[in-house]
Amino acid sequence: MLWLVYALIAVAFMGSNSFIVKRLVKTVNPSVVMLYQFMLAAPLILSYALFSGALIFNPLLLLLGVGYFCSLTFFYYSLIKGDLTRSGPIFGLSLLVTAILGFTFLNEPINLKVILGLALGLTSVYLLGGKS
Amino acid sequence: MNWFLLSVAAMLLQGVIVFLIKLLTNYFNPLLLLFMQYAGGLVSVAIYIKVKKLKIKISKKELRLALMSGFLVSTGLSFYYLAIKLAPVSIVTPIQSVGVMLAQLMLGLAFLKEKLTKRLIAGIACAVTCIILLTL
Repeated sequence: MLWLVYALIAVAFMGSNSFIVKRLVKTVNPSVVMLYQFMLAAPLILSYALFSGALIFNPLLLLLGVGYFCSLTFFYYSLIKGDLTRSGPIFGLSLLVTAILGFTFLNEPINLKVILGLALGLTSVYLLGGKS
Repeated sequence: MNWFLLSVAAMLLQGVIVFLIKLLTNYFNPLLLLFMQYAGGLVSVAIYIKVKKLKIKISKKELRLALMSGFLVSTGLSFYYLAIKLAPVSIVTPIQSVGVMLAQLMLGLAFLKEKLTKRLIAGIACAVTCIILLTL
């Protein structure tokens, strides 16, 4: 059950992070918040990665970071204007996009369960996006 | 742009990144990908701040919170990767995704005084069911 402990630590840490960011972006520019976050996160993750085994670097992988920066910029700006309880879940539904890309480009199987999941995901975005 | 369009744009981009990471994990260590994601993000944000001439000076309290946020997200993601090494991703991912969503909901309601409406409850219920159906 060690995996469950790890998963719950991940939940507690990542859930608290969104809350801290929501408070911070009230007074600090989202890009500046990201700068300090990344300055600590990058070396910390590198140390975890080095601990986990041999690493093969490819500078092209840095492009992932460009996309991540754009994605977080949109999310943090949405937190300035919207509620954490609504922006957070919509951002969390990125799984929906990954699933659609998986069916389109990797020919992953589609069944009734998946179609229902996609429909509920879209309904959720509609419900969370509407006026309360 | 309003908060909803920003959230959807963030969701779309994040979905594409996760898809690319999913493809790349066939060739690279997941923690290395996570590091490259943050290193690339650091370079991008530094260029953006330089171009926009944004002030990076913040108060000590804000700095502590920003660094704590960096620690929480990086360590949280690393624990997530450790968990999927030990258990099937189809079990860990829904627990993590639903858990983060519910944690955000509880923190928003408890400390930010955000309102719990029937529409919000229905939206969260649909999102949780969607995650479970797509990953289990």
